[in-house]
Amino acid sequence: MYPKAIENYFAPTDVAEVLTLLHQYGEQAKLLAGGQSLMPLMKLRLVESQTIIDLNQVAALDDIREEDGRLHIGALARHADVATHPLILQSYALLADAARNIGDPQIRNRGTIAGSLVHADPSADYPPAVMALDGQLVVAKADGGTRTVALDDFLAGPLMSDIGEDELVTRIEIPAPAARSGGAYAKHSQVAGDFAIISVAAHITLDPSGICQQASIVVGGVMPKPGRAEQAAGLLQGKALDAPLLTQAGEAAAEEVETEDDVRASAAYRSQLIRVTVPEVVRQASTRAEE
Amino acid sequence: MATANAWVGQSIKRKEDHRLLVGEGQYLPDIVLPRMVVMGFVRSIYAHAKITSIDTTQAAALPGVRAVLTGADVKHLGSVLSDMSTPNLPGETNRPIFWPLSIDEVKYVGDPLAVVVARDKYTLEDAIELVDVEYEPLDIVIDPEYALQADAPRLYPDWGDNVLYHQHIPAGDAEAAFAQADLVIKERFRCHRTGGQPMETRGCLATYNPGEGLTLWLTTQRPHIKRHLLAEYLNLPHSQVRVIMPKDMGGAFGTKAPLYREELMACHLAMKLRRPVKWIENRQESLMNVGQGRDQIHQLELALKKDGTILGLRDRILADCGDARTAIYVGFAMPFLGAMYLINGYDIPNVDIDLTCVVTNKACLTPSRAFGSFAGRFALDRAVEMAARALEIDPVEIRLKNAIKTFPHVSAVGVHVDSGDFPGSFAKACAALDYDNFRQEQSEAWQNGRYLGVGFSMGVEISGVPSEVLVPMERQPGFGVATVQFDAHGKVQVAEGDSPHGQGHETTIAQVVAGELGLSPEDIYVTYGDTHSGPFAAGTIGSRGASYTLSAAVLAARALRPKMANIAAHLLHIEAGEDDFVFRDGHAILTRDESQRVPIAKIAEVALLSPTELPPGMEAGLEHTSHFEAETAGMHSCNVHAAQVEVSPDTGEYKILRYVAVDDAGQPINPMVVRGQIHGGVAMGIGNACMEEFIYDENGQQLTTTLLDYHIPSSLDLPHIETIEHNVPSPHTPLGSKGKGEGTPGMVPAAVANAIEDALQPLGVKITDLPLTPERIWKLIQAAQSKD
Repeated sequence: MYPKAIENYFAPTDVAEVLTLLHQYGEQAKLLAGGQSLMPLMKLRLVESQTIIDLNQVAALDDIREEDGRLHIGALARHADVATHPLILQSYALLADAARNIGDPQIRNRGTIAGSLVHADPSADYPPAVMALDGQLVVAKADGGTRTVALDDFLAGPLMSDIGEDELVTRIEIPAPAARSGGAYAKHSQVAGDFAIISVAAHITLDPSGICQQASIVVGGVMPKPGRAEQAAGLLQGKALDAPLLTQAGEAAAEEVETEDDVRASAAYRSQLIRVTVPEVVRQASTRAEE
Repeated sequence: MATANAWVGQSIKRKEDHRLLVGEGQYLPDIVLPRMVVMGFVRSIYAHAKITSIDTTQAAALPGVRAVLTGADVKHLGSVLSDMSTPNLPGETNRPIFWPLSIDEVKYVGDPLAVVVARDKYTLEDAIELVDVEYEPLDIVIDPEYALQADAPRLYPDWGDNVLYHQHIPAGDAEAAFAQADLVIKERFRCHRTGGQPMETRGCLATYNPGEGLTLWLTTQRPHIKRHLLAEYLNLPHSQVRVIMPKDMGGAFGTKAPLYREELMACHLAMKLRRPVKWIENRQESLMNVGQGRDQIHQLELALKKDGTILGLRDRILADCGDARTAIYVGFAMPFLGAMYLINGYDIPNVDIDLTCVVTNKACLTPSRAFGSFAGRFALDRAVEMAARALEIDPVEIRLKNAIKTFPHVSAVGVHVDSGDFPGSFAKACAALDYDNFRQEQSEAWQNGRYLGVGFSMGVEISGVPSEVLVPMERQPGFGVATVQFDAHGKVQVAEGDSPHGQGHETTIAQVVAGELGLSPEDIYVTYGDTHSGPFAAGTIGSRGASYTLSAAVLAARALRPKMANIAAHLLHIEAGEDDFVFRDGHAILTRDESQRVPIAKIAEVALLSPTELPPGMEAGLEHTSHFEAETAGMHSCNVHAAQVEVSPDTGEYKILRYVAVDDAGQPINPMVVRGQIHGGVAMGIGNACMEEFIYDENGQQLTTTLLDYHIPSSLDLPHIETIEHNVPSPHTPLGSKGKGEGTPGMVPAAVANAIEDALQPLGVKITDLPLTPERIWKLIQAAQSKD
């Protein structure tokens, strides 16, 4: 449980410097943000990295603010900050729900949102929540350019994401929800703070009469990455969210999202959890939308 | 004159906690010696394989590496197990032959086959990776039932089969009992592999010089026993072996009771290299090697009369002991004791128990709290529940009908139970749960689609193990021992033979000695753990602290009082003896004239610093050692636990709404410490019963070697645990105290399973297997519904 020798350790203080180092060291470099996945992997010698670029000295990478109708979350924002930030609690409660569910207080104090998304564990808490909110990642490139990519496209598979060797995620952007919107997130895990057997994130917009105008439902804990329950969400569109409809949506989600067996649970049990959890989460999201 | 012990029953804060809370505990890793090197193991990646070659050249050539040894280098040490380190039990035993490192063949994933010594932990792990091992995989046995088949691969070819131990325990006339039965419950119960996983993993630090011999700092529950076995194995005179348990140890739960191959290796290397050798097990190694307990199948039959009277029991127990390569317990001492304790709190006159312990390609079973009996108690309390349902008798009523009623009681298989009160304990549990009204609440809930249930379990927990049992079972004594010794300033050192690591001895022993001597707990300091400064005893096992060890301290303190009285009388120039004095408030006080008093500090000073003031002819010093052995073949604590749950029929998820533990501590010394033991025991029981499982795949690869996969509950996963005292003082200890904590996890699985099954009565599920994961419950619901 001790890592291989590390040849180079850098602690740059701005993004440009990070990008230069990434350009220089390429695939042998690993970025250290909160270290909550990287450090265990290095100690288990599943990751043997010769060069560590520590991002923790980079200024202004942990900002949380609203700008131009979008929520900006700096790459280094810790889970504990996301879970408790007034702006997020007020308008993006779903994200705070997800952050609160991650690990334990020590992990939440260190772990970062971009670190989690880049790590791309299909059972992690953030990916379904950020997907349900149509979140995007802003990626800085060594050549000075930037690109913006939807999380749906960024997540490529289990522990695989669309990030180049010389790229750095600098922030997450989430469009501000329309009026009368609400979201919720719930997770089933074997013990508190564990990775999900199944998690469900839902985001709903209602019209003044309570009719669902927009819905997105994303399921985590499935392979190869969190899955959108589009048919389930489609069922809700243009309708009042009564109990039979929610049950139907649960059935649809269980039907459309493919599940697999692993050491934590069987595929059939996962499907059942989706069936049961989707209505609960949508109900909570719509309650929040009406608040 | 004997007076009530003023400090007994006081929940004073633990003396241990300050240093632990401020980070000043002294743990094994804190001990650093000059020229120290670190040791680590190359472990098998196969469950069963021939080792065809081991190439250590690259590892040995790495700068900073001090030694690389393989099995061939330790063969001359001989096989680890001797008569002294193998349980000596009735029945048929096969004894495995093995060395600190495996030679030619590995038998489980994690099996140590080579050892590396290096200057630091980083170099060590680099070097371990460089040892090149080639294997030829062999057929494996993972399933214990398969292990019994004639065509199963053999772990030990010289045995003829895979049976490590077999024992038939008949008592009374089971056949006749079953012939008379109105109802027979016959079920197969399975308890998975789970157990203890202490916060601090195993570790040791060995150093040797020819003058003093070997000193081993070791994370252990039993330094004296280890010393004794190390001297034998390493062929050293007993005087040349010293074992020290560091002042603090991050838990053990049974896992630090056996003698392990790794610690033998550290001692051998310290002697060979003439350098201090340290070993700290990492978490993966820990999860691969220790804490794996339980793992039994019970084919249990219960014969009952219509009125619920249990006439007899049959059980065919199959225990999966893994590779059986640890000393002292050898994987089968636990299932043996579990079989002896199977009938537990029930008075069942006719039994026929057959225990078969097999070896498989898994890690050896190690002891865990509720030593051997976790699985059996689940099985029996489940079977009783099933009988109650079949006979339409209330679960409390059927238990009271069959519980031990008169004490002392000797069970059909010979377990002595000294004292207890099951009706009283059940009454308190039922009152706490408002059980009389619960059934009404339950049926209303069912009508509203909610599933509430209550489950009970009852238990007889070991309160120390007497010599009568421990000598034959583990070749060691059961007495408790303590030396109570005044220093020249009137403070008292108590050197005990146990090695506590979380049980609170520094506090509770200080309380009772203070009470016996008229001092304050602050005046008492308790020392332990060093074979060269404390008296010989078996160690901290089986809830022996408050039963045996503490009683020895009480007797030793009492033994000082006549001498203290004589000195006091001499100093007061009066004629008086022990009965004329009371020891209180730091003074020896003459009862007939309380103005006549001598500070106890003065008595100690006279006895040690100024012996010229002693009565003529009196020997100096003020100390006594007592060996306490109870005048019975068994002391026990009788307990009742109850759980109330709500189950979701859609997901099988359940919430333990109430957990009520009614426990018998005899006479609690420090009720807060007792509650802590019960809380910890229930937490461990819930983790073991509901969440934790060591999982091996079909290739014998263990899938749960990190705490990400082996799910120990945190406070967020646990209910509020309500502790209720129902104490029946032990007639055999000087203060009536009983040991608490060891057996507690064994109460949990039946209480929770019974509650879940009770809640799901309308759906008709039957729980026979652990762990109680939501998915398992959901599948049972699915199966029951598809039957309808």
